[in-house]
Amino acid sequence: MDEFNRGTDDEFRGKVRQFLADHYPPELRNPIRRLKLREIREWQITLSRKGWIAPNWPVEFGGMGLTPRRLLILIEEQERWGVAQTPDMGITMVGPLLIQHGTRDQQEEYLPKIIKAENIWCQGYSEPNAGSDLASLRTEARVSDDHFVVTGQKIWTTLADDATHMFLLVRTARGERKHEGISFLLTPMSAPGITVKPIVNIAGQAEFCEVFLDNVRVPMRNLVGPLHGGWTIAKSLLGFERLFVGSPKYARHALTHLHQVAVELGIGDTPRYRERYAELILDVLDLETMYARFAQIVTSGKALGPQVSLLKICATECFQKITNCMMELSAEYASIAPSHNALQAQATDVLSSFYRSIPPAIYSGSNEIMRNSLARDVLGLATAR
Amino acid sequence: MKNGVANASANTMTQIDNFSISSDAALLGRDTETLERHTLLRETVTSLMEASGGVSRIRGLRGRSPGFDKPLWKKMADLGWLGIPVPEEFGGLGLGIRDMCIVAHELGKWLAPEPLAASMALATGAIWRGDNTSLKTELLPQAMSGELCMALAWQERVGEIDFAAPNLTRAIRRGGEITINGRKSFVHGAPDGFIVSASGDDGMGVYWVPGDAHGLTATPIQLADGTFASDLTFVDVKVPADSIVASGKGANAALAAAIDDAMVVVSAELLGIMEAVLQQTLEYLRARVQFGRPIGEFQALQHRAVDLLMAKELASCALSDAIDTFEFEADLERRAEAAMRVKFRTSRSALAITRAAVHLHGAMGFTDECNVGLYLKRVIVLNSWLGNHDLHLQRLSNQIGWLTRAWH
Repeated sequence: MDEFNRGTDDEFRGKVRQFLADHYPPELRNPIRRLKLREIREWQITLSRKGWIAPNWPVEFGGMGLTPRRLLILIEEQERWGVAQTPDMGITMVGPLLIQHGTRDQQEEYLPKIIKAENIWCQGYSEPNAGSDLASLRTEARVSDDHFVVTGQKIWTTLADDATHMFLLVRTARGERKHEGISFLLTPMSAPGITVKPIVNIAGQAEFCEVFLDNVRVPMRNLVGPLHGGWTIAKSLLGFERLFVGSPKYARHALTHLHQVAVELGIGDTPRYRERYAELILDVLDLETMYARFAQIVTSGKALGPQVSLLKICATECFQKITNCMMELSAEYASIAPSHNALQAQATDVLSSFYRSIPPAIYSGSNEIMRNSLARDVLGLATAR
Repeated sequence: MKNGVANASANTMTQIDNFSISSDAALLGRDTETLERHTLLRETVTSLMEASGGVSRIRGLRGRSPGFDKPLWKKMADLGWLGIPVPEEFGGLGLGIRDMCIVAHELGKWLAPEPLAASMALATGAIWRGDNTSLKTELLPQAMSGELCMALAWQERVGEIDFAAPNLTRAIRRGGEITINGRKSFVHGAPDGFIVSASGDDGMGVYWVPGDAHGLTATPIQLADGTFASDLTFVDVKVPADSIVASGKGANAALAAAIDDAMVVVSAELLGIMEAVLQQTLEYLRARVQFGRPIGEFQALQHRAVDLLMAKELASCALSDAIDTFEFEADLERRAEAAMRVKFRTSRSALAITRAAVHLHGAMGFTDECNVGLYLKRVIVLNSWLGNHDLHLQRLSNQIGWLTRAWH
């Protein structure tokens, strides 16, 4: 039954640490870039075999059934150990979504294969013309008998070239309210008409892709939730995600790295450096307390209010402040091209951290969009019509 | 447009709750009994402030010595506030930093000029932490009753935070008498009487000097917010030998603890100021109409307002950690670090918020008539006192232990 929720928090923590020490590949600790599936595959299989692959799912669906509190502890320990993100949105998104909104058939079709790491999922949301304004998406799904015919394009689809399946938002009706004509579909990446083109980012990595859909046939049974009801479903997953996008871990790691760089450069003792470092420590300490407050809400089973968007802004901008400082202090080292394939940070490779601090302020709702919604929902400043 | 305004009003009540959520998390006790007591305490402060004329009353007090309302100080004494941290054996309430902060936070919202931090936390704090029992028995009741509003005179130079070496003030003991010579600067609090630190043959000592002592001159300095600090000169000021509040290591410990406490109490006051001025600014953004709409609908101002909210939230986080540290951590170094951290953060955030608040009120913000400038001036004074944010950042940057320990 409640194998993982039993005992004390400290005992559980110990269990997690032991598991990571026993099974996590040491060469993959604290990778400085997103790992490709083949690089992390062995770990994924281990997680699956040991029953640790879906910490956030209920036990009856093959998950660990962790309480929110235990889930946060697990994540804390993984962060501490430097465990890489597994490139599978089946665990984090599709699973919880199908558990909540899927039919019995859909659950039986897809959930076990996620648990067995047989199906790897990617997310098809953003489009060239629909980023912040996602509701204006245009990828169209025409109904034809017992299936949809889907034509359009998705972009920024993380690791679509590794995935076996995609969940996507498509337009199934046009009307006054654009988000009311959106539906949620599932498709194998092997379906005829799907083409994936990796996009190289400024760091030289192809971690996201364009996905072209040319008259792709998607069976009706792959519709999740009601027709035209996709927007609500997509938004319903926000819970933990809103907490995690504001994790202080990026800032914390960057700060540790900053100090390593300073020591490497021989400036770790200078007053100028110490003052910059002290200021950043103070920023991260406050950020961590802010995160703890919101985490406390989650672990006590309450819903996160709109204030949580503050956390995302704070965490991402703090991360950038630290990487900016790293770049300044590193002088010419900052200008050296990082190795595209390197997994571990070289002591003086600050450019990789700098690059990595760019996307978080943009994705999951840009910080400007976050400020708009905070102004509206927390400060009571109406939106201009 | 009407609907937009109506919605904003409907949201206003929730927004007020949202503000109090954050300081509740930092300030209020967690068990039912303490929570009840704290809620009642807070309500008492609010009632007294509302009944005393709100923020406007300070216009009549500013620039007029002593810069605060003595009868109101007496009322605060009657409510027991001046004895919050004093041990029960001396007639105090024997409560801790949390209760002091709850009162200070609420008073901050009203820009109350009464010297709670200077007198209750700092001066009274030094006395009850000292080792002279008969002096405690003599002075504490007078302090707690509001009769004697004392000030702690430790600082000698501008930008100074090292209380351990008062080398501009010397105390020489001969027989049953102590003679004090020297000077003190920026002494916050009323000049009824002073707790003075001085160097002597046996290291630092802390002494009680009545305000009317012969040879003592207290020159008032009017501060930006209309309150007063004093510069003191001591020319052969003689006090009886049993005027020693604390000496040697005890003196260091007493001053350190009192100053750390005061830093946290002032930080709570700063948080209250931030909340009040942010609330007022939001009301202005919702009400002021230009170009056919409330200016709060313009994105640039919305983003500025959110950044101010963030500054306030981070300050609340630092205060929460400081109060928790003071409640649960006995290590003096950790307490000192927590005090520096919170004084840094609340000062910095409060300056940013009050400064921006003036700007966001447009030309009106730059008038004396508009209340917003009063918040800025109070913050300027509180930031400068007990080490401004820049000073504490420098100090922390020199704490090698803290620098290495701040990272797990």
